[in-house]
Amino acid sequence: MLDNLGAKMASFKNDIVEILPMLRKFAVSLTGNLSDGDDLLHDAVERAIMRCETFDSGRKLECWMFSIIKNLWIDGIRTKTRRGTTVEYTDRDTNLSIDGREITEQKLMTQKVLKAMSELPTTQNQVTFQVLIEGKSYKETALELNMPIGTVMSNLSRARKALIEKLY
Amino acid sequence: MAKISSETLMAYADGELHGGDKILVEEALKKDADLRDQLSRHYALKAELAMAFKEIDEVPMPADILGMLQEDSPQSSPKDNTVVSLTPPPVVHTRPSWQPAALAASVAVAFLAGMMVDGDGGDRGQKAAFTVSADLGTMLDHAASGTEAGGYKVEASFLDVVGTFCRSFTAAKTGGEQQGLSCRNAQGVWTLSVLTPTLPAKAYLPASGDTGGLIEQSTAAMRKLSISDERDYLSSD
Repeated sequence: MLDNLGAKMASFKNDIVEILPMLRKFAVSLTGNLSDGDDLLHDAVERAIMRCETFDSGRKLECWMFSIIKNLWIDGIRTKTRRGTTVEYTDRDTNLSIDGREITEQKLMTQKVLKAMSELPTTQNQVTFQVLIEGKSYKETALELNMPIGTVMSNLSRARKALIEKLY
Repeated sequence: MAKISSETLMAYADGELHGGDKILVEEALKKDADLRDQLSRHYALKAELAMAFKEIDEVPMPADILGMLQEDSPQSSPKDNTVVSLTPPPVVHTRPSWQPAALAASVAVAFLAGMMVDGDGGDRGQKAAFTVSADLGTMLDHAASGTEAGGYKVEASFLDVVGTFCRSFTAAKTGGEQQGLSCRNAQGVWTLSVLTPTLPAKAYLPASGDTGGLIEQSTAAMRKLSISDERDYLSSD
């Protein structure tokens, strides 16, 4: 019994670890910056562990986690003071380029992109994240978000239009 | 020339068009500079998004998030990351009566519940106490160190700095062994302080594979009792 329950919990946690980078990016896409995204992710992981017994193993874990993240975000359950001093994403050394000016420009663009993403309505954000960042097909996205493909396309189209207007 | 809607062009940019629909868009693109310009913006947006989110992957994941997903409590060091640590009990439970329930089940519940309480959004670091099963409680009350019964073994006895009687034990189970430390509170209830669950292959195992570190750490400041000394603390009834 102990083995079974312990192994089940360990397996559940390991499954979350495997999709953690994706979950993190989704959280950041909602918050618009890394520190708030990490706070949101922290709360979501915490809630998932607390409620692991309610997870239906027939369901895709990432969909369940996305729902938790989205709901926490919508509910406004964010603890910005938890970590104390945080280093903003744009201040971090990403080592993407050796040219300082290029790094600065890229950081500013990254900040702009994340902010633009976070300003999208949640459904548009979620669809955009699935298709343009995770590279999922419209059909996969429709299945995972439980919406018709037409709705995926219309949300994606509106999101794209908004992003292009903000970024270019 | 067929009119290409913005959604159709978007679908083309996303690789969602095939066959005739795709050819239709490609024919239109050859003739329509504005359409090509729109398509280039779609590609540019995809590239910008990819670049921005790729950078997130390059920033290390916060340790506290990873800590929650390891086998042990978030407070433990990497060396101890195969164990669950439960702080001294802030909650007093009534002593359980003797029940035939297996120790393993109660310890498992304690482990899982402990993880959940640990993850509660309330006062961080504040954890509920978990009593051991009646079986183990009775064994810890009466059995001398080294006693084995029902798949469990009392390993050693200790007194903490305030004189609380604590005992380490192991539970031999299929697929591995659990180690624990339990202390008897003022009400005579054995509460679980430390538990080291069996780990799956994918868990965060320390290189040494040592899972007994926390028991040793937890008892480092305690006085280990000899077999003769521990008799003073064992119940004779």
